[in-house]
Amino acid sequence: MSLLETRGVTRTYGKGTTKFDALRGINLQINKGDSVAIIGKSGSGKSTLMHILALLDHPTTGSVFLNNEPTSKIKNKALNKLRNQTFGFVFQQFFLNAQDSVLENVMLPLKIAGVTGRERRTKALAAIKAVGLESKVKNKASALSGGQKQRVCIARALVNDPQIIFADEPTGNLDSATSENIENILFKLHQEKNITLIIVTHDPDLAKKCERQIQIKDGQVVGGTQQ
Amino acid sequence: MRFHDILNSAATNLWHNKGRTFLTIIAVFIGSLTIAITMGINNGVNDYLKKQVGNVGKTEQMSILPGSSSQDTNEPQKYNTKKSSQNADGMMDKNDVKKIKSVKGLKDFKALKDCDVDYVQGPNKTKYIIIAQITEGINYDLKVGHQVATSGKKAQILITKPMVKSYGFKNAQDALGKKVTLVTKSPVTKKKAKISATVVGVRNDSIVSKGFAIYSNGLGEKIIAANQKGLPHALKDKYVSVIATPVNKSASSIKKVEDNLTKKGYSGMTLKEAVNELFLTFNAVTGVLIVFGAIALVAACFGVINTLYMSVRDRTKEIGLMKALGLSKGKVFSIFSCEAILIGLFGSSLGLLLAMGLGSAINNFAAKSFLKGLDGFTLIQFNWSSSLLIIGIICLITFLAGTLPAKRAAKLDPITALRYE
Repeated sequence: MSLLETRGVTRTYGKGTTKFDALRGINLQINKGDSVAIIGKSGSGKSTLMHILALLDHPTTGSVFLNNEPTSKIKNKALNKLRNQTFGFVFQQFFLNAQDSVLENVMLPLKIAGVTGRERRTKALAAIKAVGLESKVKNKASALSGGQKQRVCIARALVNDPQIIFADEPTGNLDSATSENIENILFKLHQEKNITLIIVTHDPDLAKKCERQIQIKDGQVVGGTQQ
Repeated sequence: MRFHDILNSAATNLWHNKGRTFLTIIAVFIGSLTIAITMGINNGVNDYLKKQVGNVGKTEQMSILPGSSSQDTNEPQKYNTKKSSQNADGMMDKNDVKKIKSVKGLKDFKALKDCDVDYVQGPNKTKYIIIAQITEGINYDLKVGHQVATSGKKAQILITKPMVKSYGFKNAQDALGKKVTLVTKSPVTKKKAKISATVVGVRNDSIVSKGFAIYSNGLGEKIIAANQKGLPHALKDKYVSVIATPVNKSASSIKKVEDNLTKKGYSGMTLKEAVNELFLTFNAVTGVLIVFGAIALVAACFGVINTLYMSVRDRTKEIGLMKALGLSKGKVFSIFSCEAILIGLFGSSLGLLLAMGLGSAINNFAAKSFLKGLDGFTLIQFNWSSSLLIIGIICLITFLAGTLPAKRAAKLDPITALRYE
């Protein structure tokens, strides 16, 4: 069943002589429960594609469908709610609030959603447990190692029980041993909770672990396993 | 995001940048302090005025005197019908009273004659000179007793607190109902006359007729009669002042009446104006303070704007992340507005607290020095409503200052904010 679908998506930056086409007609379909790697070199447009899939950016032309509904019709408020409750994000640079505790960081999406009190705490603790950081709940985010930080990120992405986790170069800043640990956590979640994984990476090893690969070059899909 | 989370986020951020927050708060604090002191003085003065004038009743009662006398200038003044050497002594005659009565907009005229008393004696028989006036029909602020009669023949007197002890009464209560003797003589016959008056009340120290004893109408008439014994009829009509009541009590029409009086060569002033005039100094002080406080607050606004711009810059990534995670523009705006309001709240509260502390110290000092003898005058006073108003206004000002940076934060594009090189 189609979860996310793009039809003829283009994204153009700038105007006139500085005009730059980041995406030039992307057609793809991602099904529920897939694990998809979007691979490509730096500047290929893979990050722009992820932003459009995650509804952080709008395509210049073409359309995106979520659960077969065109996303262009979704109002801002509903869009915010959708991103908050349907998506989870893991970034290469973590984006943790350094001075806050692990718990506070993981609770952030719940805070945004307006969840309060015991429910917020319970859910956040469960997510932290899922990434194996129970012992660091009260530690400041700045006091953690790179791998631990990324696990906090995953817990934060997980805390709202999302349908899709977008991971932008999740292992880009980590050594290979730690990378493997993070990858294992992500794929375990994918399998156990049936969360759709969309991983943007230029690491072929990570890409291979995904069920599907989508190769992007100069703003177009040039290869990979299509359905 | 719930309100308390927004508040928490704003407060946490202020706390994480303690130094910066503190410095920003100082400017707000100085503005708040000066404005709070100003307000305190205003409250104090108004409260005292209310006590003094509010109870008096008839505050619009106007007392009319001859216009500028020769004492106002060292230069010899030109003679005209309004201004002669004869009326330069500040006394008025029948014609003056007639002219004053012709001024439109006044009613209930009462021409007051001078009453000279040589000395006064209380129970201990010590002779004292006395400064006094016939009642103007207002309610004098009394420690004990009641007002003197404004008509009729009763010889009654209100004495001041210092007179109580000097005249030989045990205390104010003791003086009530007792007699004092006023001794007067006619300038013509040189014959002494003893007039006995009943003390019916003891005045509190007051700015209204400060230090004056007050005669009842009847007592005044008796003294005048004694004064004028043997005086030719033509000389009997000498008046110190005329009191009258404006028909229309609005400030503008009172002003008009006063202008008309000035044209005719007299000066009129209502009791209210006379009392307000005494507070010109305080008004000047509060005026300067308000300007100073306003300047401090304007400077504080730029401080707040600057601090919040820094805060937005520092938190670009965090804002981007929160927006990516579904936080609305409005909520982002609220977080930064909250930060601005908290700065205003802390600054104004601290300023108010210190103002209260300083206020009580100044009050203590003032009561022992320059305000000595003005009963019931607390120079600096605070009340809940105006304190809350100050806090509210300052919070509003800092909020408005914060809207610029808060708008910038709200507009941040999450993709741009989260881009990394």
